[in-house]
Amino acid sequence: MTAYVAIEPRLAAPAPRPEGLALTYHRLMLIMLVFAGVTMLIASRLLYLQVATDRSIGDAGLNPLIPARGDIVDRNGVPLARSIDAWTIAVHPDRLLGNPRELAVKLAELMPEHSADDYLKLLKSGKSFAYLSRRALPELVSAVNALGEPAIEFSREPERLYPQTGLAAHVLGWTDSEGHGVAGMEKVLDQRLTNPATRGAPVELSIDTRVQAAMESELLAAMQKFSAIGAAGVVLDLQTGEVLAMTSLPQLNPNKPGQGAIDAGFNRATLGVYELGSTFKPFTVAMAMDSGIIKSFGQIYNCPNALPVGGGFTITDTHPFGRSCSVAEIMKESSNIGTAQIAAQVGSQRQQDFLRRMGFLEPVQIELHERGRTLTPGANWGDIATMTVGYGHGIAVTPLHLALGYATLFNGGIRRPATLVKIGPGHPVAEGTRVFTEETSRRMRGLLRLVVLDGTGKKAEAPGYRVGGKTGTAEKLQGGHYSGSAVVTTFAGVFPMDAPRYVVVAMLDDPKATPDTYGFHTAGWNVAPVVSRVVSRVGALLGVAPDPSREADLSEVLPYVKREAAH
Amino acid sequence: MIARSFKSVIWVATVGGAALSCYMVSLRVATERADLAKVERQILAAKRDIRMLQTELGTRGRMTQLEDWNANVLALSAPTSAQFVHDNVTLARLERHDAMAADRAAAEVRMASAETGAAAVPAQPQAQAPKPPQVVAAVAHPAPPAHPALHQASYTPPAKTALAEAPKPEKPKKPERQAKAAPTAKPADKKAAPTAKLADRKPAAKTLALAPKPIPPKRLAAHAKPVHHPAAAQESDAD
Repeated sequence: MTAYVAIEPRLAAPAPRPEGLALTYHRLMLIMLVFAGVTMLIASRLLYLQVATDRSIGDAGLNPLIPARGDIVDRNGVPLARSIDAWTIAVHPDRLLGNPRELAVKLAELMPEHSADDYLKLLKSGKSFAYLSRRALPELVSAVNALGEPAIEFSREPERLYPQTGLAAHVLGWTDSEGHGVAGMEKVLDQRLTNPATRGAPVELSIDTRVQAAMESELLAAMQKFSAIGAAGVVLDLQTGEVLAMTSLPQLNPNKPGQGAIDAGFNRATLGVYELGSTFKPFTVAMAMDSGIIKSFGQIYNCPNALPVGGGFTITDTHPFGRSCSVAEIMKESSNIGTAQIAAQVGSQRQQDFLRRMGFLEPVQIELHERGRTLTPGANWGDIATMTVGYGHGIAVTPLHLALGYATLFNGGIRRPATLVKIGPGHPVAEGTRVFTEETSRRMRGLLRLVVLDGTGKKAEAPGYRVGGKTGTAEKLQGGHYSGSAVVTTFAGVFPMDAPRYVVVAMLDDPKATPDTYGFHTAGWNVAPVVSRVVSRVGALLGVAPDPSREADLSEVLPYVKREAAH
Repeated sequence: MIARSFKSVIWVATVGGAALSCYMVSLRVATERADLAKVERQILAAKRDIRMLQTELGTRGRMTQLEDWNANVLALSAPTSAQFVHDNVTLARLERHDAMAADRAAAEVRMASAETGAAAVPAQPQAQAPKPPQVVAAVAHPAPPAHPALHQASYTPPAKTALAEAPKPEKPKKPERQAKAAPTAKPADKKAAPTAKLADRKPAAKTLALAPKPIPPKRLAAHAKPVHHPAAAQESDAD
């Protein structure tokens, strides 16, 4: 009975229970599923992160080895411009905690480029940010840090460094504080140097640091010796048009472009135009040869002591012949009178045509933006102008024009633009245009070798290197008229003359006479020795072995030079 | 029965163990990966340092600086055309005029052959048999240098085998040579000194390279030492 009774509630009770239990189970299950689901979600996410996350640092965008601005190197890989992480010290004057007066005094002690008053003014200005020092040395950073002022901030910013300092400064140019090129190749290559895709690889310039250094040091020595106000020099590979060295003095330090002489930023080699004087004479002779006027270097011209050309204008020579002379002698003694007659025979139209094809009537062809406009007689290109242009007066071009002109004359007569980027797979040699015939180009070698062996350019001789070239001394135009005292002296040389490979042009702006030069300030005395020394220093480096047993072919010129007592 | 009731426990343990081992593997991988990343970071830092140092070196050794040093200290100048030699004949002609150079060349050959031979001699008997009187004989014959020198040089390779077969008679001569080649030759007169030095410097490396393995060079030197001083003394006496 009891059992029955006992069963009764049991039977009665379960009736609602399965429902409640099931519900509970369901809820529990649901909660468990939710938990499991969340756990699974987290686990799978972890797994995904574990598997799919790439932890290698090969990401190009973040690779710290790719500089903020690409490197520039010379043709042998010597760095000319690099970006480095430099320390900068900045201050937030509005967040200053310490005593500005004390701080200003301490800052002035550490960084004496400004006075304590300047620092105090800056600290009290209430600005939110100001640089104290950029490109600071680590010692200075730690010293300033030791001041313990929390408003002073240190950071590393990419800065442009030119390891060779002033070397090739006008070729490289410099950058502004934002890191963009404002001059030289920095400006030309700005896009290439800042593009993340291309800035990883350095840009190879055609410059050879060793040649550049030789050119700069020799020119600088000459400039100081002769108290010149400026100088320019170019070394050019005449087959390819690559510029191996290009310098303009006074020097400039691209690390601090604002400092230095006022005209230091002026590139005399490509932007400055000068009347380059007698260095033009070989062009006139070559034009006459190509036009069939000169058939032999023995052709005779009448060379009086002075040549009146009408209009009250008389052409004179420094070493007048006062007799008939051959083309070889005209070139050897650099006779204006003789060359003027040859130029007159060539004629104005033909002369202009040749000069245009040589690129002398337009800004020089090179990558740089700093290119000067040449000055020509323009509409007044009459007979007298033709004669004066024939010996390099009345036309002003850049020293690089001259170098390119000589390259054209001696590489077989083909004109190519100059380039500052190394010739290589991505930068082939430019197509040239023919200006002179190959025959003329070949015959001119002996003529210019004669000038160095026995003429006005004797001091340009570098034993064994077979240098040929031409001196040029031109009076400077000052205030609209030529002054006898100020001159521009130039030497355009080519070596080795038996198989020409390089052009060397050196120019001094307003050199003075010294006791060594016996009172002369002509090119043969001051700038020709520069070329001699540069060639002796760089010839072997450029692969031209000095060989006294080799010589240019002089058989066409020597018979036409009359031996006479030295002046 | 027991197994059945523990079945779930075993399952849990198995799964737990598997999960743990999997986790261990992944942990290990993560550690390795972290190490790798660390090494990569170090490489990067090293590369950056290299670049920095290269820049610094380049800046300190810039052309203008070198030029200054040259102007102030070194005073080097560009070689003149006469200093370039264009063919072998000219080069050979330069050599012929220099009597000293001929002597030096002959002395060099002699030393080289002597050293090679010494190295080939077994170490042990050498140390035990230094014979000073013969040292004098060996050293004090500088009169006809060129011919015997060349002769000995060509003779060297067979000497090695000859020594292996009959080490006794060859033995005494070698150690003295070794001693003479050593830098103690300095008390000799002016002419002998540079030759001895030169000989000592040049073939030394070659000899070591050529020397057969069994004798470590250090031991050889140690053994040669006893001979050293008498030999040097004798030589200066002889000269």
